[in-house]
Amino acid sequence: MPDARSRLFACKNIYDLSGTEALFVEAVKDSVLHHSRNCGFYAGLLKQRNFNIDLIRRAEDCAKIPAIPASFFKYHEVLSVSEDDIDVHATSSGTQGQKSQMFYDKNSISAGIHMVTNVMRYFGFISFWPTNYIMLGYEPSDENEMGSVKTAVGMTRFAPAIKKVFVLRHTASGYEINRFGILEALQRFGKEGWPLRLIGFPFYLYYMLKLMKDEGIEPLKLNKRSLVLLGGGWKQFDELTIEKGTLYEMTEEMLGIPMKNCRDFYSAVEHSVAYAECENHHMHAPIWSRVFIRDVRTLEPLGYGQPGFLSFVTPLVTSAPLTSVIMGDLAVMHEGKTCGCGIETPYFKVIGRAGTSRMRSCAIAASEFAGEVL
Amino acid sequence: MKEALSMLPAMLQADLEAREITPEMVIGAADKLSRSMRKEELAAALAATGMEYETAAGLVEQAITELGRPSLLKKLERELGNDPFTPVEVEKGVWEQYQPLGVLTHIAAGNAAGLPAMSVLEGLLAGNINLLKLPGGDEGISTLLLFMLVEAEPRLAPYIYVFDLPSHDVESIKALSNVSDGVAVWGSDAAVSGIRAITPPGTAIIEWGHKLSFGYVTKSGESEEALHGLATDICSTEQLLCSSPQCVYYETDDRYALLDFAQRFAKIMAQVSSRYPHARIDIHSQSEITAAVELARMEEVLGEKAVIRDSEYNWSVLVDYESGVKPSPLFRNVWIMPIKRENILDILRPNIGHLQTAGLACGDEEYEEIACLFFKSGVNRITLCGEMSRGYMGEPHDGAYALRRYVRRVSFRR
Repeated sequence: MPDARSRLFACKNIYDLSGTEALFVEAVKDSVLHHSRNCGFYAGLLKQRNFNIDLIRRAEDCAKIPAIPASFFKYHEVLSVSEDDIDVHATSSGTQGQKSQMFYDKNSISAGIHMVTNVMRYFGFISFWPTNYIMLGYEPSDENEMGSVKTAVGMTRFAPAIKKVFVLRHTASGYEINRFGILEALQRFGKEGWPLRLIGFPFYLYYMLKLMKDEGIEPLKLNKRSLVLLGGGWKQFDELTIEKGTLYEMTEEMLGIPMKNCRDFYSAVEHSVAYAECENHHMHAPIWSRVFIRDVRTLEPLGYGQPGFLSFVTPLVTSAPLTSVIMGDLAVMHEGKTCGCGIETPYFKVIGRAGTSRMRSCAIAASEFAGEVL
Repeated sequence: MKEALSMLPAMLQADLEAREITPEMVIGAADKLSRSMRKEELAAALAATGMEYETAAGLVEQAITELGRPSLLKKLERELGNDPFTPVEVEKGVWEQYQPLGVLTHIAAGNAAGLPAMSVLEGLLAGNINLLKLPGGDEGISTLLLFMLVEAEPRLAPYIYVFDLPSHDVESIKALSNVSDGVAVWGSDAAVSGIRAITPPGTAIIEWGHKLSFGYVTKSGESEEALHGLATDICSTEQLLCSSPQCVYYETDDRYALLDFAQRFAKIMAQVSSRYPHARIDIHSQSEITAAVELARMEEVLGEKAVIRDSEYNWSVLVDYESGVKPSPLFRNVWIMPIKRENILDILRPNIGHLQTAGLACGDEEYEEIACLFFKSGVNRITLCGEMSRGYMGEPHDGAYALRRYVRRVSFRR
């Protein structure tokens, strides 16, 4: 029989937390044991914390597994498999400070593909209709190792592609914005009438819609099966302070894609479980992970409505000890039934980056000294 | 606002033509203000903005002293000499004197209550017309102080302009710097770079940037008193001042000796920390602290760091076996690092322009050598452990007399 982890990632009812709890706990315990046997650092960490795996009986107990800050992986390469088994090297798309990076083996990639396929199937996003694509990000190239590029390209497998147009085109001198290419493609796709999928960074969707407005291009009425799948951080908006809702409204106005077909995904190289927005734009916890919001002082798990560190437990990755991680994001968790979309698992909202206070101090701040801390 | 800014050049020209400001006018007004300040009332007002009452009372007391006639006279005399605006014959037929820069813009920072007003006061003492851009989230204390100053001496009114502009309104800030002879900028590297980018060539930029300070302890200098002093410098300021220690260097190349030192220091931190009330730490600052401490705890597993943390999370002593200059996450979380005397320049020098105070505890025979190395590395202030944030009137700030940066030395031959 396949191991607990493979069975968990093959599950199609992706929000049945209670029905899969035993499987989840078994997979997580296997994951902890795997990393402690194959990663010296992880074994040392469990020893430092006197961690006793027998205390993990229910999913909620998983919060007790020592959690590693995602930033740790920016500075240290720690693996739980031999280097020969590494299949994919992915980096974060961050533009400032130290980039995150992660190494994945075949095992992790295959579970990840199962996971994403199940998400797309759950929401009815797997389609046999020929589809055009506008990729809101980088065109793949040999040098580009960003996780977001690999994911975005992977996401084009769920509806047969007629044509793919990239917002950032790879040229001999590096990346450049394909301004005319995308405007021309949009108008052509509008006339052709096939569904269009826009996939990638929210920032480039905003850029594109704004470009349409600035150039006086008439709003399009795209095929109603068209989809917008976003991911990879809203960081670029820090200065612009554009709201997600505003962006979706603009999309509906300029492209005719209904707001419920616009979905953002949360994911990171240190935690590659994909959290898809439901039709009400909430990110519910799926069966592959447990989401804990932790007190920013004690790291103890908090209840609904209280802000803290976003942290996750998942058995997804076998190549590095990512079983329990604390992200550099602050978030709040809400009770599932308050959403109303029919999915009953709790959902989280990211409220900002950790450690980005405007320090009222004249002592030099860590953020201006060495890039981000987390 | 645009309209007001468009009228500014004409107004400034009229002010400049009519200029008759003297240091005595400013000192007289400040002294009157100082006498009229009611300590309890002001401390309570400050405390209402979120500051601990004791800290607020201390600040008010300091402001009352600094605004008093004796302090300001001393400052003026030390920084610009006696009668600075009267010509002195330096050679036969050649005369020199100080002149104000003219129009001085202050881009103020919000880290200390009332600091923007103090910056303007320095500009006034040097005879300038001052355009103050308030920091974001200003609670109005500076505006109130300046208002009271003008009430005390109405003739100062044409020398003070206050602008409540958001920092991202680059066009308006540019308009201010375009009509200024100098721009004094307080704040982060980002703020300083921003001002450098928009200030026309030929306009003086006076930078008061963020700084980093540290403690330095040698074997022969270590004493309970010194460690107690450093812990006090840390806890009493929450490490929020540019003179507060972010790191403490211990002269050793032995890991165990360093860890022992850290443990001795942690014991003293525990005692001292309990004596000072805690600042309210918001979720962002707290998450920065926890993130830094947790990262260090991970690296402890790798043998790169060691963490000694209070069980109530009120303070931590973070040991990095690798030496370097690094800011702490503030609020009683301090780095301890090993150092060898021959590496001081190597380690400190890359941070030139960012260093400020060193709290030094060493033997008498070591003092000169170490102090000399500090100054060569860009440190501007060496003091005793426990006195790191204590200044004196007329003290140079970040390596310069502020008033001298707000004036020109002019000459004439007749």
